[in-house]
This record gives sequence, structure tokens and C-alpha cells, in this order.
Amino acid sequence: MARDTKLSPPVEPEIDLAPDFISAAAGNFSRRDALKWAGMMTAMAAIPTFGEAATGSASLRSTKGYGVAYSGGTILRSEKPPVEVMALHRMAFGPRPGDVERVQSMGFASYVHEQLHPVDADDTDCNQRLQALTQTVKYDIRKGKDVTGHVEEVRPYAALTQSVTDLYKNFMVNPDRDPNSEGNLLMEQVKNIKQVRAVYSKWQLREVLTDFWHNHFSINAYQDSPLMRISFAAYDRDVVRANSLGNFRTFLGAVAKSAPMLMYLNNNVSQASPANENYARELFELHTLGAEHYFNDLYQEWSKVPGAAIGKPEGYIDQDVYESARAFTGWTIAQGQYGRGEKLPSTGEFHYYEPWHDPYQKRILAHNIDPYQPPMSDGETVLDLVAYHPGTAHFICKKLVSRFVSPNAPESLVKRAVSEWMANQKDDLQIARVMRVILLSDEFKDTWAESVKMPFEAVIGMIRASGAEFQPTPILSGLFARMGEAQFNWPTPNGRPVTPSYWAGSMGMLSRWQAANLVFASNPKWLTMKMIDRPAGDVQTDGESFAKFWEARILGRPLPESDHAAVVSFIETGGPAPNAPKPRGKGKRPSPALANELKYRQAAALVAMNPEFHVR
Amino acid sequence: MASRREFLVGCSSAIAAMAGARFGSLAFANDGGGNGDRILVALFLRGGMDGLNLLAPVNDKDYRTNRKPGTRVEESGKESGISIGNLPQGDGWEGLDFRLHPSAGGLKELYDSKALGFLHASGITNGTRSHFDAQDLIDFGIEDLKDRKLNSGWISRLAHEIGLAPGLMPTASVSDAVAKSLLGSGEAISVPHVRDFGFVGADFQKKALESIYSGQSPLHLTGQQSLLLSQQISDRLAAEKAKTHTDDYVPGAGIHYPNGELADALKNLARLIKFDVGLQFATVDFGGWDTHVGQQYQFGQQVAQLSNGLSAFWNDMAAYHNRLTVVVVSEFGRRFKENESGGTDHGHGNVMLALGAHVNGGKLHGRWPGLATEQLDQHADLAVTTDYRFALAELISKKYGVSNPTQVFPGLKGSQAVGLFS
Repeated sequence: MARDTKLSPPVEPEIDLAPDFISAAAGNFSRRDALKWAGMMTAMAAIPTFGEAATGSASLRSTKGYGVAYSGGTILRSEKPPVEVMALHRMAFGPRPGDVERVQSMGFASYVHEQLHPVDADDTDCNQRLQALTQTVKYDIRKGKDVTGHVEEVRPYAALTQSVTDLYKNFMVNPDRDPNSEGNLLMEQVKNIKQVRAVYSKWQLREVLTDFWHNHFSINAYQDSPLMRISFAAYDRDVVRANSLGNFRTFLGAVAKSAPMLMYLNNNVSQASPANENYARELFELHTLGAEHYFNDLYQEWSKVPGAAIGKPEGYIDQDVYESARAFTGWTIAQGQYGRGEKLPSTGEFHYYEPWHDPYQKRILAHNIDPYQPPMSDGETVLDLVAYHPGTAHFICKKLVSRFVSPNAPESLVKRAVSEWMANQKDDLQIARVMRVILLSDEFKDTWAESVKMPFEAVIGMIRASGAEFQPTPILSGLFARMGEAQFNWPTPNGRPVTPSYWAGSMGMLSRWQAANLVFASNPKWLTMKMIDRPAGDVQTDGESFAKFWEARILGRPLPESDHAAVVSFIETGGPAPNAPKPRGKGKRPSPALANELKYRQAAALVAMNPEFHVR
Repeated sequence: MASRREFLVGCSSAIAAMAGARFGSLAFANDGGGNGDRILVALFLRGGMDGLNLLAPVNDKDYRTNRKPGTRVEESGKESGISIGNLPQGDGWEGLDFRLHPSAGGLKELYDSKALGFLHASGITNGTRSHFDAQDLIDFGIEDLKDRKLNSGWISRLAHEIGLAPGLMPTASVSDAVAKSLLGSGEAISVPHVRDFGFVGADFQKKALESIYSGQSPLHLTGQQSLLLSQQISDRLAAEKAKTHTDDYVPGAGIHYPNGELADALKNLARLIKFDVGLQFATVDFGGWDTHVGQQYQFGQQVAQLSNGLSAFWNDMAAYHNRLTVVVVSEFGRRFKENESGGTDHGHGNVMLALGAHVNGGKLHGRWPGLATEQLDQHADLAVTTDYRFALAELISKKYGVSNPTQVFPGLKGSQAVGLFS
């Protein structure tokens, strides 16, 4: 990690926290656990507010309206930054120290090229950090009320290396392990790996796209049996990250046969007849053609769908869903379950179980499938039909443009992305090629501040900008849950929306500000971060250099003049008084040095609370 | 139908009026006239609640043969359904024994007290079986998905139509984000947990933020709203704690909310209502109804939460009974014939619930279409004999005096007397 040489030595503040703070956060977080956070965060309030009266005498303007109607378009009247800075806020989780200079010196186009071709070996710092991760495990195995075993060890991360079969063998069917506990532990590994990669990986675009695709093929890993959580590590690594810049058809096939997706959308139990329609429905509506190509309210007969007469229907109707559900009957997971009078193998792998399959003829998207096809042929044909459909190209390219340019995806750019997609249907780097068209477009450069960063993105961006030494922690996963973006835990298969109105409501802004204080101005033990960097000079008087330093770090560009002045003024006149009273709770009375330290951190947090940081 | 521009302008002036009133006395509880005394809660059961497993004709032969134990209400045995009686004359109900799921005892009590009414075989008339399209149709109050471009939810349009009374928080979603039914309401906020709705940081930071967020961009305005409301909520929480000596919400004497997502949301809602922040329209979401597999266990849990949660909330809100109406809808019902994995797929017609003031309770409403194959929608699902919007049209007419429902539900043609609201 590059550190400026002229920095003052770090100071560790002596801020106390409630002792149960860490243990309360160490469990497995779901959206529901957000509740537990309420108490914890209230406890946090004692830290940054000490020395301040709690009465809140803020003067508020009483005559202005507060109507906030996000109606599309710019959400912040903000000066467009240089394209290199835009890139770091869109193709990366924000700049790390030195990034802006690096991209400026290599040039934007070269940066795009580099990011489109990640080389794992060339990510030494991140790889070393991942290899060094260990997990401390301690739990009892119970049968009913009896404790039948105990597991206590420090392990390397199985999620980094083990295949689906090894994960299954070691954690799902191993009599000396409890699958439920192990599922949660493995999910914690997956989340921590995501945090480390997001903060440290050189291949930021791949990480951003991995997050994008996880959301596209959204799975609530906590919904089902432990196998979903146990196999999710391999899914994240071998299915999503591995294909994030690759070929869509290959990607779709890998998702269709993955244990987490088979379980999440119930295809693992689908058999003739009636088949379970869950996967087939969402395959069309969410994974490929999108609801924009669902013609059900207009057409009851397949032959009336535009284009159907010449074998190229523009969209799908319920009949296509029903027939596809039949095509996927028998696609399941080998987990030793009972089939028709026999036990299936127990490997945790994808398994085609013919006796459950509905073998008769099917008609899908005006394409006829004859009865009694070879194993899995029906399903593979459906995947071909939807993966190569022009509607899919439009739906997904629009979604990519929405993520990387603006939710009001300019149709001009979507069209060019669609042509690239269609021209490279069988290409191994199909997605990378489409991304290049999007990233190097005029629309990319000409559009700014129509999107809001997601909570994960915003918080990781703060950590990256802080330059702090970072270790992943379930506490951070809890913070994301509290901010409405629990990782791998979105409750419905459509994934989270990208619209600013969803993420930047009043509650959203409050939680972003709070997160800034948690990252910059809370106990370093808490995020296991070493002291953040600082510019040289006396921070009490040198507001100007302070503000410039953190604006460059956090935003990669200067703040608007009036906002800049607010930060300068905060440094020069704000902060707790040197003779501050004892804080509430267990905190100690701060020494003058600590009071200064805290003010310094709160001022850095203030830059991250600026609306400029939250748009892209 | 107001144009989008008129709508936004109207909204802004309502908000300006509201902001002006924020610093005066904010006592709404005793406001006997005006708009501010009515509270409407829209509870959305997201995922497609299986109305044929909540309230069904257990003695119907087609019902018994298409549903197996686990996805049906039983006529006899240990888990037999709760008979509701009081069926309408005619309209297809003759001879049928409609029973509630055995976990719906709380709903039965509300029904017997005449606070709760059911409207069966209702729903959207659009044939979509997509969750997300169907939810949008209902949240936007529209019939054609193209009308999403109006960019305003049905509750926003209703609020605009009647004019919101001044209040600190006239519209709110008790969820992670503002519901689409409140889209276009500039003042709408989301309060997933009342206790979290505060600024956590130094007062110096707060002062700096007031300056930094003083602009007029949407993000600036949101920031201003956050600063203002969080202070007001914090003050109320402090005042409440001075009385209760706990950070937790304390419901009325003898009221016990169950555990779970819905009850948590309803507790937060009850707290907001009791804070007298001028709440007039609220939305609550309750997911987990998409029971494609293993329906028996999950559905039972869901129904117990719904039933016990609504019942606790209603009793907790005793002081507000003449002002409060709760409508409960889901995007669609589920396939009549169950699938081979013990679940049900996406269907069509469903049962809708209404609780509270203006509700014609203790009755089952609607017209029963029957469950024989030729009576089903697409030969597959319970038919919709009542467009759910006709029921809501009745509500907004009786409760809010809005006589032209197309102001709120664009494209709604004709009219139909439903009787769910009086």
C-alpha cells in the first residue's frame, strides 16, 4: 500500500466501546438482523458526540419546501469531473491513494483496456491478503438438546480454494461438522473475500461487474437449506466472478446448473407434472429477456406474438414459461435424496435425473422440440433460445448502461452495445467487448450525477480513500444490512433497484452520514483499521491544506467552493472543546490530543458525507 | 387526471404548507375535522399470497381434488379450518363452507368484531403472472404498464386529490425504501425503524451539513429533510423515553405483538402514529408469500404472523379506530392446481382484506366464480370477478369524498358496487 512519506506518525485514539459490541456483531447477518444494529448504533452515538450538548440547537430554515421528487436526470447539480475520475467512481469502488494519478498518467483508454483483461497473478497485494485470511471457528454440534461434538479451530478460507464437491464432502455431509453453522461460516468467508477484493484488488472493474452479476442473478443465500450457503462459495468464485467478463451463454448455463440457483428457484425439486415454474419464470423475466419482452397482457396465443409467424417472436408469454418449466424438469442436485424408488448420488454436484423429466414435445419461442430428446437437451435448447434472443441483448445491455452511465440509459448507447453483444454471441470475451463499447462511449463521458452509489459501494469507497490498513469484518456486513443492502440476502429474485429514489431517501442519507463516521471517526479496533492518513501540519489551524488533502483522497477532485469552505471552517473552529465533559456511556474524558484527533477524523468524515461523494 | 406537471406543482405547494406548519403546534390527534384525522395504511403481501389457502370453500369437490393436504384448508381433522359463516345471498356463494386457515384465529376475531371484511375473487384484471409487473400495476394503481411513466403511485395521487393536511410526516413507508405507491410524493419518507431515524455524529458536523445540503438539487433536498425530521423524531423518542424508561416501543397494556418482520413493521407504524407526526398515509410490506415449494410450513408461519400481527396492531390502536383503515392486498393469488413439489405457482384471483373505519366488516364480499375448470381464468386460476380498484374506489369515495376514481386510478372504466366499504 502506497503511503505518503511526509505523514505524521499514526496515533491510536483510546476510545472505548461497549465490550459486547464485537460479539453482538459476530453472527450471521440478515436483513432482519438490522434490528439488532439499532441498539449498537445508538451506542455508537456516544462516541462522536462527546463534548457536545445533546440538545440539538441546530437552526433550521422554516420557510422552504422539502419536496424531493426524483424524476430522472441529474440528482445533484455537480461539475463534471475529468473522465479518469469518473472512471474510478464507476468502474472501481472509488479511488485509492495514488489511483487518480496512475489513471491520468496511463490514459483513460489504456485503463479501460487494462481493466477488461484482468490477470489474477498480477494482483499480488490482494492475493497475499486473501491467502492470509483465517477464520476462528468455535461451535457445538447438537442433536436435539444433547451436545454431541465440539469444533474449535483456526482455518484458512475454504471458500478461496475448495470445489463444490469438496465443500459438500467437508461441510455438508461430514458427521463431525454442523452444516448450518458451516453454511454461515462459509458465507462469512464469501462476504469477507468480497470486502478484501473490493478494497484491494487491482481488478476493480471485475469486482464491480461481479457485484452487478450477483445482483442480476440475485440469490438470497440465506433462504434455503445449508447446502445453498455451503455451495455459494464456489458459485461466487467459479460461476459469477469467473464469467463476469466472459460469454453470456456460458455464464447462463453455469448459473442454471449451480446448486444455489437450482435451490433458490426450486428447480431442484421440479418434476413432471405439473412442473415447478419458479426458475423458468425468472429465467425469462429476470435473467434473459426481461419483463419488457413479456407479452402476456396482450397475447393469449403464441402465434399472435409479433414475429412468431416467421419463427422469431419478439417476446414471450406464459405458455413459453410453462413449456420451459417442463424442459427443466429433472435438473437437480445430487444430494442423496429419494427419486422414484431409489436414492440419488450424494456429491453436491449438478445432476440430471431422467425419471423426473417430462419427455414430451414442447414449443418454446415458436421453436418446436421433439419428444424424447437426449438427456438435458431440452433445457440446453431453452438456454440457447433465451441467451441468443435479441430481447436478451437489449435487456442486459440496458442494465449495464444503467449501472455504468445512468439509470436513464441513453438508447443511442444501448443500441451500440446491443450490436456488439449480438455480433459476439459465441465469443469468449463477449461481455468485455460490450463493456468496452459502453466505457469508451461519448455518453459515458457526457453523463454525470444521474446515479447514486449503492451503500456497499459508498462505504467501500470511504475505506479505500481513507488509505487505512483494512481487515474484513462481519461488522461491516452488518452495516450493509442496516443500510438496506445485506450482502447475498436480497429477499426477491429481481435484485436491488438502481434508482436514486430508492437509495437516497432521508433514511438513506442518514445512514450514509453515519457510515462515514463509522469508517473515519470510530474506534480503529472496530473496523480493525490502523490510523488513517493525515497531511502534515497543524490540523487545528491549517484547514485549507486539510480540506484539499481529503477532497483529493475521497473525491479525486475539489469540492464546490462553498462546501470546501464548510470543511475548512469545521477544522478551524469546530470540534469538541479541549475541556470537554466526560462522554456518555463508558467513554473516557478525551485528552486535548484525543479531542484534536477526533475532530480531525470527523472532518475527514464530513468530506465523505458530501453529496458529491455519493453520486456517479 | 392531473398532468404530471400540475401534479408536481400541487405537491410542492402542499409541501410548502406542511413545512410552514412544522414549527407550530403539531397536535393532530384531536383534530376532529380536516384531512389530517384520517389514516390509511396499505399493507402489501409481496410474493403472491395464496388466497385459496387462506380462505376457501372446503366442501367444494374441485377444491379437494386439486389441492392436497398442505396447500388446502381442511374440512375436518385436527387442522381443520375456521368456519366464518355469514355468506352473502346469491352471487355463487350458496352451499359453500368458507373457512379460514387454522392459523388465522386473530383474523377471525377481527372478523367477528365486524372490524374486518373480506373481498374474494378480486385482483388485477391484467393477466400478468409476473410478480414485479403485477406489484407495479397495484402500486401505481394502473391497468397498463405503460402508465408507469406517470411516475406517481396511487396513494400519491389520492393525497394530491384531497390535499394533504399540514404535518411533519404526512406520508411514510415503514420499510427500507419509499414504496412505489408513494412515488411522486415529494415529502414521503421511509422509516424502517423509528429508533434508527437519527443523525449519529457531532453537532458541529450537523451544522456543517446544514450548510452543505442547502442547495436545491434532489440530493440536497433529501439531506435537508433528513436533518429536519431526524431531529423531530429524536426529540419525540427522548420524550417517550422519559415516560417509559426504555428505548423499546411499549405497546398498549395487554397487547403482545408476535415476533417477525410484519409485527416489527407494525410496531414501528404504531409508534409513528402515536408520535402525532401528522401521519395520514402509510405503507407496509410483508414478503415471503412466494410458496412454490413446501407451502404447508411456510404459509402457516406467514398466516400466523399476518393474523396475530394485524390483531395486535388493531388492539394497540384502540384510540384511533374511527380514523384508521388498513387495506391488505397481494399482487395475485396462486395456481389452483398445486405442483409436484408441494407448492403452488403464480395465479390470478385472490382475497383482499380491509380492516377498520368505513369497513363493512364481519362479511364476505364479492362474487364467487366457482372452481370448475371452465370457471377458472385461463382454465387454470381463480377468476377475478371484482377489479380490486372498484373496492378502493369505494374507499376513497366514502372515506375521502373523491367521487371520480379515475383521478386516482387512471383508465378505470365503469363502476361496480362492492360493499366492502361503507
